[in-house]
Amino acid sequence: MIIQEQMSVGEKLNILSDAAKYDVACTSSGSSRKNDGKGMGNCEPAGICHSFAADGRCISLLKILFTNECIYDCKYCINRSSNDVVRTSFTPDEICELTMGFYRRNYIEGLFLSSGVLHNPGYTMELLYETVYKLRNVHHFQGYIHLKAIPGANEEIIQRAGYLVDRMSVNLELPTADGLKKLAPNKTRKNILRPMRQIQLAAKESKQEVALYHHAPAFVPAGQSTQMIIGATGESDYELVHVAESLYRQFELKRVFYSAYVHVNEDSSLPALPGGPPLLREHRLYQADWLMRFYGFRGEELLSENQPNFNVMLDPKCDWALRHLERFPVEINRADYYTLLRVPGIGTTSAWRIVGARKYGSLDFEHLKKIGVVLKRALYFITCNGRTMYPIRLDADYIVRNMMNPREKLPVEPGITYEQLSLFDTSTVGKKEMVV
Amino acid sequence: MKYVYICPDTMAGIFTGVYDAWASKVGHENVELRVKEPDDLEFFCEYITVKEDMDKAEKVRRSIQRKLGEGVYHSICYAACAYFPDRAQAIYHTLVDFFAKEGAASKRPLASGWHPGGTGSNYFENLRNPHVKRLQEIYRRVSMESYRYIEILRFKELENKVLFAVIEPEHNILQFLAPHFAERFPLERWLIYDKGRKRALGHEPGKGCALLDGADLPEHYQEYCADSQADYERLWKDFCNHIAIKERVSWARQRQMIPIKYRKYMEEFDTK
Ligand code: SF4
Repeated sequence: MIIQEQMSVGEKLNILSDAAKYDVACTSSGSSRKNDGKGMGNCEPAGICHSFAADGRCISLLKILFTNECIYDCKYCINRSSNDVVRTSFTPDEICELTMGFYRRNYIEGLFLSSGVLHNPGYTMELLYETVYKLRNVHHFQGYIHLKAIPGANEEIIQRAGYLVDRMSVNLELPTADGLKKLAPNKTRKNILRPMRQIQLAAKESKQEVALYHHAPAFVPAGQSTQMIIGATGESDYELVHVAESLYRQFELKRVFYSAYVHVNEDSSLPALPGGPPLLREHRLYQADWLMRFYGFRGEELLSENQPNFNVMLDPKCDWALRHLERFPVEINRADYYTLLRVPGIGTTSAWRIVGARKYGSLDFEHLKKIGVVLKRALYFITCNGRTMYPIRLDADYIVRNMMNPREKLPVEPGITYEQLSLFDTSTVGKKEMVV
Repeated sequence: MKYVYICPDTMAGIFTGVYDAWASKVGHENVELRVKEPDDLEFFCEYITVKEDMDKAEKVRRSIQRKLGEGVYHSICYAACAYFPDRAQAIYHTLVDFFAKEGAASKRPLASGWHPGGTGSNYFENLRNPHVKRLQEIYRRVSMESYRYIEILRFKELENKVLFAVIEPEHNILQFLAPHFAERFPLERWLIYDKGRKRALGHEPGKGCALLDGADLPEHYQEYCADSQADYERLWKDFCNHIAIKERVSWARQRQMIPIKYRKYMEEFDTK
């Protein structure tokens, strides 16, 4: 192993941000902390993106590893102990200085600190704790901090750290215990879920405290998140959605992040993925996740044993609507908010607007267009005062044929030609629903 | 006959215009409010130049706040600072339609559960009305731009420790940045400069913010930067490059998220 002792902060930053980039979470949302007038920073509940990287992902936090030294050998990880890469570590002071320097210049919302496992989990967690402790108490930093909890560290230090940071996360890494055994031999499902449960319970307790005593310290006020790698092991989308749903339900996670597997190591146990990371699949999972969190969909509505994977060509909501034509058309001037949400082309914002505007009189298609409904897709599923926009047939094939819009803004080209379309029975390309 | 009220280009000016036009009783549909002299004068049109009057403006402000609530008032303030020439017109006719015609549809809170006070606090939901729709749009554009600059504005540290940022926004958003940065950096001296309008927003610890008009930017202001400034720019730029996953690079997506026109003062981008 190559350990560089004399390295500038700049060189360390290059190595340790490079090593941290596979962690997808970069949000700074969910915390609302006012500045107390004695330090620097605050937290905006909606989160703030200060820039966007070349891969189009938002840059909101200084995302770094404390060290890329690691005693473990997770097959998929660039920092695994068997890899021959340059290793280095920050000191807590270096991280504090970088964070403050970046924050003052309005580059970032705060710090996302993760780490390889140096010596042992407890030792590593101590270092992470020391860093955030200094940031909060020496530098009086009041911006956002997202800290990784290292599984295997003792409960007490995780507890203490939780009171200093906004969000904590423990990575599930792989969706199944089997996958974990195969690709992360030093980790176990049990070990990962234990701190997750601890954080959940502590956060719950602290919420009650804060409700009672306004000034009680808050434990991870922005909640807990996790991430899993998509496409390194053989799970179906149905299984993934199921795992995510139970994480939301049983561990009350704020977010589950999906990370399309990136092939960085040559290893016989890893898939080759000649087409690059499975970005489209990741995209569909985020869409489904969105539907579950904000649209009131349940996982089993979107996928089933018989239909275990998302339609590549069709976003999950459209796909669902076409399989449930009996629920349509929906009358715009009467349907309740949640029913409106189920219409392709109507998102949360336009649903609110419809509910608000119709108080002043009934709405027609012209109004809907102004309100921001994507009529191109919605028109097959709605009526205004009992009338459809054009004479249409409520028939899946017909809708698919007419709705064809080859310009869905996908993160990647689906790599499928229209001749192949017939392979998918109800396929078409819709517009990205998440932004509607 | 059409009556065109030319208002001074300030919030109080527009509010005074609203007052005068309303008081003139020439019929609301015959009134047009503008903030700029038209290039060509039209026939059958009377032009009235409004003189800013704080008492009148204050009256208008109070009735908006009382009847339409803080939320709508807040949106109207943003809209009044927009760059769009039809903003005064949209404000006037929205107010007229509310006060003289449609009134409040209900006293229930907004669909979102938010009820900021005033029986007309949900009047902005009345998107069937073209003036409300337009005003809402103008408000959204201004507030989105303000938010955008909260994200992308970059401070440079000067030798005297002042944090200094230059922006070139389309709308007159400086004052909307004040609460955010005052809260965030209460112990710092900072200055944000709107280059196009030659306007500055300054902050002094313990004293709060102040707006300054007619300030000129020294041409070589970069030379006043602290020594460490260049180092931090380098570190930031390298960080931004290293944090991207090369297997996922998508310049199109990056451009979509952060259009080129905003990048001028963002050190992580090479705009030269
Ligand atoms: S624990 Fe595994 S995933 Fe984490 S840094 Fe070490 S090798 Fe990589």
